[in-house]
Amino acid sequence: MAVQLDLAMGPRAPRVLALHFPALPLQRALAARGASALPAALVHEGKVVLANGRARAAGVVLGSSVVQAESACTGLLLLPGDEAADRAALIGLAESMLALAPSVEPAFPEVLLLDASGAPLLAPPGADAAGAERALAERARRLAARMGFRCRAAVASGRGVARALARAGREELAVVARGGEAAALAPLPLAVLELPAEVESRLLALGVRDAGGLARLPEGSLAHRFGACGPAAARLARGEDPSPLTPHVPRGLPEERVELDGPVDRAEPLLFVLRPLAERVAARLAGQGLGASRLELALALDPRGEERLTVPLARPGASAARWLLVLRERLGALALPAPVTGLKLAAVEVATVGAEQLALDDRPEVQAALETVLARLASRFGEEALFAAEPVERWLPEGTWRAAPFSGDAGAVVPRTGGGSHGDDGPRPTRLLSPPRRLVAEGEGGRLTAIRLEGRVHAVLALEGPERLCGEWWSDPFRRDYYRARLEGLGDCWLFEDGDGTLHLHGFFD
Amino acid sequence: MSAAARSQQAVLEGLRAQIRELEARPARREGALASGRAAVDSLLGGGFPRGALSEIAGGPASGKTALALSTVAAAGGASAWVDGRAELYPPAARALGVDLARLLIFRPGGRDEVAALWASEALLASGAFAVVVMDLSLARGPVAGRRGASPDAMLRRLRAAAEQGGTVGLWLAPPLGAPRVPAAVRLEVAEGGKRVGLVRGGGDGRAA
Repeated sequence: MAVQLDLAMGPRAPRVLALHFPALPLQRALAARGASALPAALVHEGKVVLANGRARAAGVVLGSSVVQAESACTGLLLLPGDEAADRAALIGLAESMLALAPSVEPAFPEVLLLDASGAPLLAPPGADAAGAERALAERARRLAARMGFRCRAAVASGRGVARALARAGREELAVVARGGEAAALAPLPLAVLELPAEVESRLLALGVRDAGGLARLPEGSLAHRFGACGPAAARLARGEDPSPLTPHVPRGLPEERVELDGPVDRAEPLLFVLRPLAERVAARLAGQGLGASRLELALALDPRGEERLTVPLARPGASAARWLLVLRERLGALALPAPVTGLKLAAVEVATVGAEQLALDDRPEVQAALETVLARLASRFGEEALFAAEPVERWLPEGTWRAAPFSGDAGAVVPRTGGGSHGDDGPRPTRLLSPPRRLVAEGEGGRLTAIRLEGRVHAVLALEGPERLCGEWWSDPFRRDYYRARLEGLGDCWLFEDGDGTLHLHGFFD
Repeated sequence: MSAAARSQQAVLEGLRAQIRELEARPARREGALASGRAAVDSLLGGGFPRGALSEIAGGPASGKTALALSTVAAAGGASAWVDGRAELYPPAARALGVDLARLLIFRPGGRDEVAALWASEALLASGAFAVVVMDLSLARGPVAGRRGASPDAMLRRLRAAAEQGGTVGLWLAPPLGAPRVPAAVRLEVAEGGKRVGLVRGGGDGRAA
């Protein structure tokens, strides 16, 4: 790919995807209650400050009192504002968008700015630059929708330009080619440029109503009347905005919560509201290239108290669908001590995972099935019950392997004639007894003729050995002479005589 | 096959693929899986049947474990070993060519038999494993852990799970006395795998 240098023109404005979440506080409050289908209004100091389409259609007017709004719309859901929660929601969205862009800047209160320079990397083969950026914007909107938020998108050169175009909302998704910024901005009202209020009102007083009008004003006179703000506003109106993004750096592990409209005492409705929560936590983790290996679900009980479930996952992942399978099982098995009034889902233990484990849209079926069954088993039996064996360089037979996390990914296969961890050892049994069983030896003339095991006598039909294994003086010194013995009624067994002459059955060549 | 029938077939295949995707379930495997031992495969008419249970019965050092391990090695991909007795010795598995990283070992510990059978069922039905080996010691009579649960009913569920996942289910059993799984194939192994007899299923009931 050719790199364009534009030395004469100074720094080129970066390609930016802006996502505008209209009425984000209301969207956030509705998502937190899992009630997006109801007519709802956000209330601040007794007045309606935001209302959704259903509420407005029913006659709710911004600025009206609570009583007026309620009388206009029966069943209106009145929600309190919460600025901190709004900021947290935008940050949560920013973290999820990191799955799509190398850097994301939350522009409070309602906009996210994504570096769109990597769009061609995510685009379908054969897509041109505009097609790639459109595909990126569509993916971002789908991701936001999965998290319960609706947004408008605009891709343009420059953060201020993209932001203004998204806020203008003329189209749900707009892509402006490099060089077309001024023309795209020209018909838009000054308000979308988010100029200082004083500058905007004075421009309006001068009869400048849109960005095109501002762009045409001479910079000298603007500087004279408005100081540095004036030329800067005009440059923005002309689509000249080379300032870089200020990327968000995630801190802490994601958690999401929901308050229920009323107490719930059955698992099924809880799972219904848990789904969007899981989607949001998963998307935030995926954005950071992380997968949860342990989740914590806190259930707020009516009237007070809390029930906490810790859910271990067999493999770190960021697939809400897989988590929900495990959560369904855990919730189904839980006897709730009281009805639930709210839920909080948090990733309490995470690990860096590869793209193939993030499971956004294209997980292979086998991998999904594997992860699901591992999660179910780990949830029921604990992680320690499931493992892959990993060779260890030791002489003590029971110490030649250890349990390691199972990934299902191929390892190095080293077919060998022996089975131990060292290169020149003899054959090893397929079954090893833990602990070894003590035997009583019977012999004649110094020759082992039979052994007695749990009261039964087994004649020795053949005997090979000894193979002396000893050492590990630094930790657990031992000395054993091993024999492969064919015993009547048992078959080929692995026996050893320890340092004090006691005989043990250690395994079977089954 | 006519063009219309081919088109109908393609539509059906597409719908099945969509359903698999929705269920997050892999495509069902069919046919037989070679055991890695020519004599046994010839006896079985190609190998252990996929989507079914096979029983390998034998004494403590009969060679049944080695036969199961060689089948796991021959299968490639991920396999699972339900190690109810906690006796599998992984270095020997490695020596027989098993990729230990792709062998999930599940040890239910001191949990009841129902738990081990539940886990076996989940592993068989998942379709994520080419082979699931079950090495459990089941008592006769009702399965411990569930009042009145019949072992036959629990074991029938395993057969259905193997069918669902298209998995080769290998049930390791002592020669006599233990409950028998509803297996499509039953092999009796002795003398460290040197003698293998086919009791039912597979080819023509010979011995190798």
